[in-house]
Amino acid sequence: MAFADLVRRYERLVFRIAGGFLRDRGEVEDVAQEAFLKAYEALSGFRAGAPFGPWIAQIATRTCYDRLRARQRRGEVAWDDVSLTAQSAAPSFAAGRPADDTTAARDLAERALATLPPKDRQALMLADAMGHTAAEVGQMMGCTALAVRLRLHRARRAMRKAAERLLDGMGKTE
Amino acid sequence: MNTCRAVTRDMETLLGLRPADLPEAVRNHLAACPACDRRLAAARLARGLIAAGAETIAPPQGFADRVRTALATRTVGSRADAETWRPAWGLMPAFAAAVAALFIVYQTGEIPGPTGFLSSEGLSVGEYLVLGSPGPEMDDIVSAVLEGGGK
Repeated sequence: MAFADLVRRYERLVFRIAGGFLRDRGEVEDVAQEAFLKAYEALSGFRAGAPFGPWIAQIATRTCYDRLRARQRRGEVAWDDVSLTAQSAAPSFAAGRPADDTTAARDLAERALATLPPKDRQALMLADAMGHTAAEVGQMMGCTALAVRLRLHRARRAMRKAAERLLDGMGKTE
Repeated sequence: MNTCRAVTRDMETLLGLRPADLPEAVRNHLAACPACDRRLAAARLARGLIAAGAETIAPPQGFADRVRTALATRTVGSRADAETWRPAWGLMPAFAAAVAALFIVYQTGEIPGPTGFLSSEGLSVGEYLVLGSPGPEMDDIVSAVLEGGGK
């Protein structure tokens, strides 16, 4: 099978992973391309007969990690730090409804997720947003399922605290 | 199912339900207990943020061709690099011989000066302290300090 056919078959998977960590469409495309180029260069080390999906998913996850690591982590999220547009998404989520403005929702989410260490963020997104098991996440991230569960616990707690801070801010402005 | 402990215990289940689908006992409890109501709201908000953080971005049309082009460019680039360096690799033995000859000359030659390349003549006391060999006497150091580093 030509490599372009492999790209066509797995591009959705790679874009899904990259879209889970990166906000900008151009950056997602760059990362996806970089992941496939890395895979091509490492093809000689790929075990024949092994499934290609988990392997390319691992490469994509690590490529995204490099991007996230290069960014500066943000401090704790506070209501006043968030733009008015992004703030508008919070009440819907808190009431258990989807936000009307998806861009605002994504901005607010990015602000909260940017406070997490990159590996915690990756574990959280792969497990809770994309629905992978801890074992699958461990395979993608190159760590044990136990390590993933610990990261998940920490990340969920941090997100819960961020949500509480946002609720406090929201309550003050209401 | 009407206690704070039960709400905490069943939080994951409650998060999966729409507000209108919550059991009546839970709804009554939430109406009477601001702490549980806030806990559930925070959990919902956190879950919403996580879900919103993962955007489904579809690959653009022709992405595989773009990768193939990038691959070809990269391959051509690495070949060009190899071509550039090939003549340089051919000069390696001559370069190694030159380095070895310089080393032998430096080891056996009578090269004046404290470092092998510099003469100590014309150095100030301060420079001599740093570059000079052998080390200066204590009197030289003291007078250099007293004289403000003059010759």
